[in-house]
Amino acid sequence: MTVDLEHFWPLDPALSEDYWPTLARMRNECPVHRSKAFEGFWVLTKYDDVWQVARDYETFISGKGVSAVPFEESRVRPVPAMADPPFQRTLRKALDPFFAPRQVELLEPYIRKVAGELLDGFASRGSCEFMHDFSIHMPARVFFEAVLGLSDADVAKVRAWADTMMIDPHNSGRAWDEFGAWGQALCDDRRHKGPRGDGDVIDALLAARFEGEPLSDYTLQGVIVNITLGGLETTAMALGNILYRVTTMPEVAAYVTAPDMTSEKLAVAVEEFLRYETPQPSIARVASRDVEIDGHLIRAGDRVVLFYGSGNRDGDMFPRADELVLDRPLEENRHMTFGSGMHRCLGSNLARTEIRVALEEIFARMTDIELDQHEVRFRNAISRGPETLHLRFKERAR
Amino acid sequence: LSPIARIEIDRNQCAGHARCLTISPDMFDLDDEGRAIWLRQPETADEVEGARRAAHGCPEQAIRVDEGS
Repeated sequence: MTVDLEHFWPLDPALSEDYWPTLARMRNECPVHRSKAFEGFWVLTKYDDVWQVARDYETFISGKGVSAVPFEESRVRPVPAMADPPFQRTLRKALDPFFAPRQVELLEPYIRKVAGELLDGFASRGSCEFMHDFSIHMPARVFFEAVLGLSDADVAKVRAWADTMMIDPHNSGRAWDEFGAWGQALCDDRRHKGPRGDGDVIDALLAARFEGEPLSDYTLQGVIVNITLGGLETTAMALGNILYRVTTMPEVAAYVTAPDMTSEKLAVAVEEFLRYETPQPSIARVASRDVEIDGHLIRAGDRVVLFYGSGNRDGDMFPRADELVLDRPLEENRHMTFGSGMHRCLGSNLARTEIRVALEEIFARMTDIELDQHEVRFRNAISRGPETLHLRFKERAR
Repeated sequence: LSPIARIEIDRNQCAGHARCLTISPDMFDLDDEGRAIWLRQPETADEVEGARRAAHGCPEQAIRVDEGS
């Protein structure tokens, strides 16, 4: 099945089947592409174009939608992702401190404990379905317990909403409403009980002011949905993508499990895994004025899809772009997996640490990890990762 | 002692990726707003090299290292 570029859209099942070759074709043949799908939109696939547009937040705005595909409308909107300055800056100033590198460093022992507990649940069995036994749970537990200060009791409910939003965005209005109401309940509960004292994310949001006013209920809901989705979804997919490579590329397994592997070297490898396979491959902006990109006239109001995942494979930016070069130096790996510009992924440093620590704990317990299913299907959704990953392994003597 | 090179960080371009402090932890940090700051200006060839690597690795290209005169 060849992808119909004229009607290209990121969730096309045909794209999922022929993913990287199609994106390479677009970079070569039509790097600034006009798709006729839906009401029509532009697709940028070259690193430089994506990078420039992502940084030009005045010409390419987020407030009119950041989804590459149509979403069913809800009054709950993912902000700060779907916000512009100065409002966007207000929200990020309230949120950023909780996800700064130093804060994440403090969470590392907890992340390690959560990873260890989940792995100990199946390590002696010698097999697992990695996505549902580990990958989806670990970031969710870390986010719920360490960031939101909640038990993980609501994780299943929240995951169901997140899945609907990612897989079936056209029919996700109810999921947005319900997810938002869940966030509202967290805020109402906190208002009722008063600040927690140690000043967590919810306290910071309730204390935040924009133009002198507290954040509206819909804003609070939108922020909680936005950060929870971010916390749950992409890290889970990234871990699945990495284990897929570890189990299907022997040289990759040998490298990451070598006796001389260190945390520093693994952190470098994690960046390359993240470049190679972008768990949220695209996002959109809307042009606020007429503007030209490489001779194409983008009109005010046009939607522009930024294919970060494709830019990350652009040979004009990265030597050996289609190869997994696990010791690619950090200074030569300016990938856009966490986006670029002021909307840079809030949780990027949390994600990096979660992934590295998860890998360390996995390799400490499991050896000879092999794929135990014939074909791995990548889910055809806004976030990209294996649908399932059945693994077989030996428990490492400890 | 005049610095042999000078680090300039464009705070309007910095988005807080924190790659500079991962690449050269002795020379960079983040401030309370999550933007990069330099901790010291380079005084040795190694430090110039460290600053250059951080500048090269900055996803926003917000760091410049200018040769001293």
